[in-house]
Amino acid sequence: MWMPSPDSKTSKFVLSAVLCGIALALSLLDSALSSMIPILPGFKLGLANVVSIFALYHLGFSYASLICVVRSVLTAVLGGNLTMLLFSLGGGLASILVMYLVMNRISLIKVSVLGGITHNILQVLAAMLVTQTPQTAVYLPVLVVTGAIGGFLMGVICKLVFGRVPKKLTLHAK
Amino acid sequence: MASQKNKKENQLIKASDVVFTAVIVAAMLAVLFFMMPKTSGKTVQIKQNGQVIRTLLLSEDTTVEINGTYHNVFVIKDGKISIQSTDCPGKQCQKTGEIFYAGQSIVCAPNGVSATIAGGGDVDAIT
Repeated sequence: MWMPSPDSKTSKFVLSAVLCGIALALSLLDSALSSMIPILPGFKLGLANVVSIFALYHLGFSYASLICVVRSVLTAVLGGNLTMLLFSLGGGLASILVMYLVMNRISLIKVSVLGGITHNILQVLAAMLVTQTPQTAVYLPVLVVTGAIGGFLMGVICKLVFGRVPKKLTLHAK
Repeated sequence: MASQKNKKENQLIKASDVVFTAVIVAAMLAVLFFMMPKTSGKTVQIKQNGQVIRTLLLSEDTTVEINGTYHNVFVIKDGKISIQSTDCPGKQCQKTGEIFYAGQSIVCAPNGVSATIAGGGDVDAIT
């Protein structure tokens, strides 16, 4: 049977599509979980971040961003609104950018923690812009804490996932 | 050697990861702590060189002069305390302005003087 090389455009494309689907599912699961277990208003684990990190390490920055955009748009279409779209796009892309900048210097879990924090900081900034109330910044420390904790957990999951993905899928990693 | 290194790399959570996250969380919790909704204090303790030299009620308007290397004039008015005048260099303590929340303080480092507002007695439990 003919197998495309993992480095080929086709295989990257297919992998991205699969990741988009997984990210979308995780994203919806995340919102469902956070509304079922209201620990804190707006607290989310950031499950979809696992996909972002996976894509970042195995497909690169541009694929990861693209997957994030597709996921955000689809999530908004499936039960969100325009404001939510901007929130998740801003947070998602910013965290991918930050993670991309640090990913070769620090461990996976730290990368994930920074990604989670960036995501949440951007959410607060977006909320400040939308509501035009600087007082929203009060939530910043809380969201940094939840971002760090969520990021840590997702980092652990990422590590577990990385160890279990078949090598032939991830040959193009670095 | 090689196997040891390998083992280290396979370790799921590294100590540095935990420390990294914990430091961030701790720092933010500290920020949160200082941003907690505040309650107005009832009394103010004035310390000089670490020793409490005066305990005043915020509800009573008064003027107190503390002499040391320099001279700080504290004024309590309308439940708030501030430094009215000082001859210390920088006058940082005067710039602090009026304080009235439990836990807030005015510090005049050159004179070794601080005025800290205590709440209904529960501040000691926290600090």
